[in-house]
Amino acid sequence: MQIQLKVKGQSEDVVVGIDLGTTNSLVARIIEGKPAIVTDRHGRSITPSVISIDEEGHAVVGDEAKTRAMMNPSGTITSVKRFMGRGLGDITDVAHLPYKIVRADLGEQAAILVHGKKYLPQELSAMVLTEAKKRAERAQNLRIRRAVITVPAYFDDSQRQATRDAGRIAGIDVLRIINEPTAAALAYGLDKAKRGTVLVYDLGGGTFDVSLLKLTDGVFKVIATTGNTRLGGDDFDNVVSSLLTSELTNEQRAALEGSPQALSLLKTAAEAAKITLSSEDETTVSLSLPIGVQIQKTITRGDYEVSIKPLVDKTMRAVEFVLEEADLDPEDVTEVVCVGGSTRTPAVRQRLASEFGRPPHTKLDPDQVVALGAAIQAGILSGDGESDAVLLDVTPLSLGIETYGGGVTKLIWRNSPVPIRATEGFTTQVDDQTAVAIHVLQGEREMAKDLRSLGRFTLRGIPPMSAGMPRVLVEFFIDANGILKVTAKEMTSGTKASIDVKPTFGLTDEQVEDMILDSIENAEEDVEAHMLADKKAEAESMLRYSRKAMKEHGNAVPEAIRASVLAAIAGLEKVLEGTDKEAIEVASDVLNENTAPIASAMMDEVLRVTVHGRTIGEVLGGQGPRTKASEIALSEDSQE
Amino acid sequence: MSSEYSKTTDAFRCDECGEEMAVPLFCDHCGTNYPERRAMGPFTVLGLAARFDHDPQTFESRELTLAARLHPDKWQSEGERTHKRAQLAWSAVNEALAKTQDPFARAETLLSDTEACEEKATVPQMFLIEQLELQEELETPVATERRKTLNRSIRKELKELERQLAGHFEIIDATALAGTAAGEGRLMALKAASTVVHMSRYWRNAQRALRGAAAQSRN
Repeated sequence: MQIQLKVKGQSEDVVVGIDLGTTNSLVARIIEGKPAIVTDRHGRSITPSVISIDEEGHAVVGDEAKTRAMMNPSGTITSVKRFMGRGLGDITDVAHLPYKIVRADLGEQAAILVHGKKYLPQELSAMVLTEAKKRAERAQNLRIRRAVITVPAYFDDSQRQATRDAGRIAGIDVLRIINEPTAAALAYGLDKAKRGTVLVYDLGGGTFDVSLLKLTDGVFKVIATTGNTRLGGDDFDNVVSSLLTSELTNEQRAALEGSPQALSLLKTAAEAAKITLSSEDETTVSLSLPIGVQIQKTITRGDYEVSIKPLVDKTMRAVEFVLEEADLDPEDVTEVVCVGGSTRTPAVRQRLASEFGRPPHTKLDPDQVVALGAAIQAGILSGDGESDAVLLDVTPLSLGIETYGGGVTKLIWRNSPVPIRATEGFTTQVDDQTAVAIHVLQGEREMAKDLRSLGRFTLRGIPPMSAGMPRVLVEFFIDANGILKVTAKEMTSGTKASIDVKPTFGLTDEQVEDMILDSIENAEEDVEAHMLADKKAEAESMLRYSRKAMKEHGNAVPEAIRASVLAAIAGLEKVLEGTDKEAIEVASDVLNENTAPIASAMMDEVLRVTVHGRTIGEVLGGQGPRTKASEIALSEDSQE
Repeated sequence: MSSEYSKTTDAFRCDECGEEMAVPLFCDHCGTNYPERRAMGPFTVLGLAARFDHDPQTFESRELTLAARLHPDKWQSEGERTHKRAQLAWSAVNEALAKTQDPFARAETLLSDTEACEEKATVPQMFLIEQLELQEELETPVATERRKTLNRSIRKELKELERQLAGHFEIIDATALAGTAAGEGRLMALKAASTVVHMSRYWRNAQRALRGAAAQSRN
């Protein structure tokens, strides 16, 4: 138990690590230099990643949502992480889901239909994040504004962006997206041998990753990573479900699939049976389904292990692959680390032990290790922690662009260390062409149609020239989060071509902004985001005012002042695209300062009119008109 | 780290704070960056001599020492601008490593700066036939055992090519400063090295195809 000495009512500002899991989410932070899981007032460390939405659209999240699953099966959403950054076509195992997946109104991404309303996975994940955050804040009188959030290493760009957007919608400044296996290695690395090659086997609720890292004096370098974002404990549950329902007739099966409530019950029973089979040799399930079906079945561990073998084999092929990719043999691996609740399955541990000739490390709770590692990274980034470690991570998938005829040119190979940059030259195909379309893809296959579409970029503003003359240099930059940024420059004329981004399975920045604003309307207490929204609204009205003033009174001031006002307007417009409150404040101040002479000129004009041709100086007596007018302008401003 | 510079290139000092810099792109004392230097060759960026003969350990230890000082995570709390600069500098280090760490990439980088880059490398005909057969085999799914055998033999072939490359570069590196006086011997070595690099590309492509096949069979 932590005893906190501080003034009552004053909350402590902390940077945390959040494991946003398929089934459970956890928050951890650094206390006295060591990472620790933050528990809520009831001592719970886990927030189930479950959302239950009632007919009026009210949502509850976490344990309460889990208990409502039975009453509200079609409004209770689990495993939302599986849909993050995904399109409708990616989601195949709809049969097991008690809720409906539909196409979102924005882009091609998948949305979840609950009581007639569509919810994006980002919004639902944001609800989970908000709940986990609130629990931690209330229990320990903290204030959480900044966090490191973890994702499966094999997440692609869209999935990472969706995670970051979920954080933003939840009012969290996401310092970094880090890979779960890397976080786990960091948590283990605290009291480990200083050098070695570590294989992290991370079998979570819905995703599987395997990463190979080299540890050298506090530097954690990922050599290779691979995985499957659609393989996890959920699949083990489904295997048990199949065992439980193996004797049902076709009619019973159809009835089961038509009843969200029955499916939900079955899933819960299957999960419980799976957990029991990790410690017992057999388990008997008695289940009375609301479709008039009784299930009474004994499953032995042997049956279960035979049934999950294909899944375990699949993970071991990934282990082999990652070793091959790094040019290493199993003997070269000095440590094996188990992460994720599903690694509690004895069959999984045994397979790893026999493959590597030594038992895997399981000392840290496989459910907590990722959050602990995220907290360490949060400490490193905020300068709060004790750790001096450096993470050198890689991009899990190759990045390329579509070429003529549906092929692909790879620009950045998988397992390249990040951040990394690649540049590619483009030109036009017809005379006076002013725009070029670029289709960015991720994945390992050779044809564009088999790859993941990240987005379509349109380069605009190319000066009209003969075909082939413009040289547009496009820079692809994968940052430390594994997220792509694209910028472009036309080299011949030196103009900066602008880029419109249409994410295939995600949201544009404006759409995220809208959602942030939406969530503010629903969550009054989100002060920080509120302040940002207020600042933005203020800045926008100032922009409108300044543009209008320039249009109507711009001629009344010298050219130099006009130029500085225009620059200040452009500066504010630019920062308004982002969410940096301080930057918006600064840019607003700059604009304010620069428009003062116009305000003064306007004042002059107004007064000149009202006092029939006499200058303001004459009216006010003795003092220089400009000075006085700007004082008036200033005092008007300072009234706010 | 500074000793490597003094042996090879002049040490870079920061214009702002006067301290010696770990890499020429970014001052790890005061956070100033030098974007105009990004066009520098990868060896200069890493502060290494532009030659083929480097211990593989050199690159690894260089990366680790630089990471401890330059990695953007170390600069995250120093404001967004500095952090962004550190990201760019570190990505330049990553790019430089990609062009120098692997022996074939290193050879390619070095060759692109010499008179050999104009010449088209020609590979032996027998080799081409062998490669075409391999490509054909890789067009259809390959059994796991066969994949492993192929991987092993490709690794062996690449090791052999690396050995040859080292031999050619002994001549190239030794004659680098001699200019035209080096004459015929140098030209032959350059040509031979280009051929080896070219051959390595075939093997690398085969390796990629094999791994790509493995990647697909997993899911």
